Formats: sequence, structure tokens, C-alpha cells
Amino acid sequence: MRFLLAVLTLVMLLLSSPRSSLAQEDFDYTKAYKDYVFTQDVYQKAHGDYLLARSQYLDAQTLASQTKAQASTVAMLRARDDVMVTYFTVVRMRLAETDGISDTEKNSLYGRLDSEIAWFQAHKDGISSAASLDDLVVDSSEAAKRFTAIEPLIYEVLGTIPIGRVETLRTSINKILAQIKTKIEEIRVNGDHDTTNAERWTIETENKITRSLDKSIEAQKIIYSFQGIEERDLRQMDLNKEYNGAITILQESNQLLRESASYMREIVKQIKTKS
Amino acid sequence: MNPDLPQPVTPQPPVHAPAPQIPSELAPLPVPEIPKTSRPNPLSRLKSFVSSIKIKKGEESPVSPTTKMSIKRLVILLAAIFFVIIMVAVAFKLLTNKSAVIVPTPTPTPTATPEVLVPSAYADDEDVLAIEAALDYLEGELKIVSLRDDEIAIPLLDWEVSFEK
Repeated sequence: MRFLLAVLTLVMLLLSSPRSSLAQEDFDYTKAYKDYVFTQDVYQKAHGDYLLARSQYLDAQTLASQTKAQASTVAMLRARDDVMVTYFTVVRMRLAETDGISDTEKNSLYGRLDSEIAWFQAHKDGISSAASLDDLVVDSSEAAKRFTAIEPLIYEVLGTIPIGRVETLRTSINKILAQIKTKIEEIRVNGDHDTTNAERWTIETENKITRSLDKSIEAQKIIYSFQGIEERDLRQMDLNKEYNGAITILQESNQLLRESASYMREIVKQIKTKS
Repeated sequence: MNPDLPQPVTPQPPVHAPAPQIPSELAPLPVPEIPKTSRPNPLSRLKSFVSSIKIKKGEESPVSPTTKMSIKRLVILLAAIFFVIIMVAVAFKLLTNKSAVIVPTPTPTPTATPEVLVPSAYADDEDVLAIEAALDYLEGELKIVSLRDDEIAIPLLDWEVSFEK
């Protein structure tokens, strides 16, 4: 009998594993985002019902209105946790699909995001339908406290994604610049075309790229500073303002890359034109 | 001539009165000259002109032909002045209207002078063309890159749940 059960379990595992890996492969940012939008819609409705039931309970103070308020609060709290779970999932997928971020950094952020997904999932499962209004208030404040604590993590991920995007563009620019430098060297050795101007433009392009890198590092420092924030400092710090500041610096970094690309365009023009 | 004898007084005929009948046996007396008076001002001329209009038909106009002539000149002069004033007014209006209406004039736009590019030996080089293509792609990416991801902004949720008034 035990042997039969073991065989059956093994067969089930073999049958289910390729299907689940296939499902994981299919799951991407677009699907995650659709789930997130859906849970947000559910939450909005549940929140509306909660506000109405709460208002009726506070006015009437009857047993019926209390029961209704309890049911709508349970639904709203569960929907709110669902929004958080799908939100972390969508952010995780965006991070996964962004190049220019090291695997170490990604894995570190995945781990922290996954633990938050697990926490909100467990919190949702822990909300009892039979809980009193006071219990539900405690449940809600637990989630609120958790949300405040993880805000730095969210901003860290939101800041890391554009840093990765700018890094990817900078890598591409460096690659093209390396090709240009090789070509200029080849032309210079041939001696059939004046490369003086092109070489000067190359130096200017390198300067722009370096300045862009400096800007990215500056933005990175702001984003990384979110990691070790304690609750005490969190109250004084405006995370949104800091995040916006980092984004502005990254925009400047991107502008410098655009300028370096236009310089490279000039180099190509000079190579193609007879001096 | 004896100065003691009374001198014959020659009657002064009125300017427009009918001439007195002179006896045929008497020699015609010389017509006394009309004393030269100062030229009347335009206002008095106009008055006399108006009074001349009032004269009934068949009556002889009391205005002399010279006065009539000068009135005619005055009327012509006034008409000419009036005409000139109207012309000046019309011209002024036309000029001011011209300045008020803003006529759109095409603004000169700088046009790039076509650069004379003499292609070098590397104009069709494979590597150079590949670099150019990579640059085209990169510039497109740089333009569309999104650094602020609004889609995944932190959701706005109600964290304040309480049942106290």
C-alpha cells in the first residue's frame, strides 16, 4: 500500500512539474500587471462597501449594522492585502525584466520582495470572518505598520529599475564608442584620411559618458540610502521627495548620454566625409 | 470868378438813384466820382448778399457787380477749402486704418545651407555603416526610455481603519 502511494505521488509530481514550469515561463510583467489592476478594482469596490457599512454602523449602532460592518471590513482588508501581494509581484516582474542590474542585486531585492509577498499573503489568510470589529482594527493596523516599514524597500526597487535602464544605455554607448575608436585607429594607420577631429570628438564623447556615470552614481547613493533607514528616521524623511530627486539626477545622466550619442554621430560624419 | 457871389451848388446824385433830367440846352455836367471807400469785410459782404436774395423779382439788386464777383470767389474759395478738408480727412482715415490692420508678413526662417559633402573612402565602409545603424537604434532608445514608472507607483490604499466617531 505504501509502495503504491509512493509511486502515485512520484507520477503526480512528474506530471505536474513541467506544467508548473511552463506556467512560470508564461507569467510575465504584462500578466502580473493585469492581475494587479484586477485586484485594485476589487479593492475599490470593497472599500466603498466598507465606508458605507461603517457609516451606517456609526449612525445606527444596531446588531445588524455591526454584522454588516464586520463583513465589509473583512472583505476590504483581504482585498487590500491582495493588492499588496499583486503589487509586489508586478514590481518583482518589472525588476526581473530590467537589464543593467547585477544578479546579486536582483536576488537580494527578490528575497526581500518575496518575504513581503509571503507576509501579506499570511496576513490575508489570518483575517477571520468571525473577528470582532476591534480585532479587525488590530489586523488593519498591523498591515499599516508593515506597509510603513517596507516603503523604503518599494522606493529602492522603483529607483533601481531606472538606474538599470540608464546603465544598459551607457553600456551600449560604450560598445559603439569602442567600435568607433577601433575604426579611427585603423584609418589612422592607413594614413589616407585625417582623423584629428574625430579623435578630438572621441575624447569629448568619453567625457560625456564619464559625467553620465557620475550622475548615475549620485542617484544610486540616494537610492541605496533607503536600505538602512530606521523607523525613527523614516518619520522625518520624505521618501517620495528623495526618490524624485534621484530620478531627476538620472534624467540628467540620460541627457548626457544623448549628447554623447550626438557626438558619435559627428565622428561618423567626419569619417564619411573627405577632409 | 467873384468869390462874393454865391457859388452854384451842384446836387450830389445818389449812387443808385435815377439820374436827374438834364435840360437839353444845358451842357452835361461832369459825373462826380464816387468816393473810394474802404473794402468791406467778408461778413458785411455776406450780409449784403443775403439781402440781395431777399429782393423781390423785378427789383434791381442793391449789390454791385464787383461785390457779386467777390462773393462768387469767396464761395469758390470756401468750397475748395471744404473739399481739401474732406480729402485730408479721407486720406488720414485711410492711413490710420492701414496702420491698425496687421498684415501678416512671412517671417524669415533660417534655412540650412546645403552642406557640400564630399564622400571619403570610408563613406560606404561596412564597419562605419554598422556603427551608424547601431547609433540610429541607440538614439531611438535614448529618446523613449522611461525613468519614472507611473504604472508601478505605490498604490494609494486606506490604512486608517477605525470604528470610532
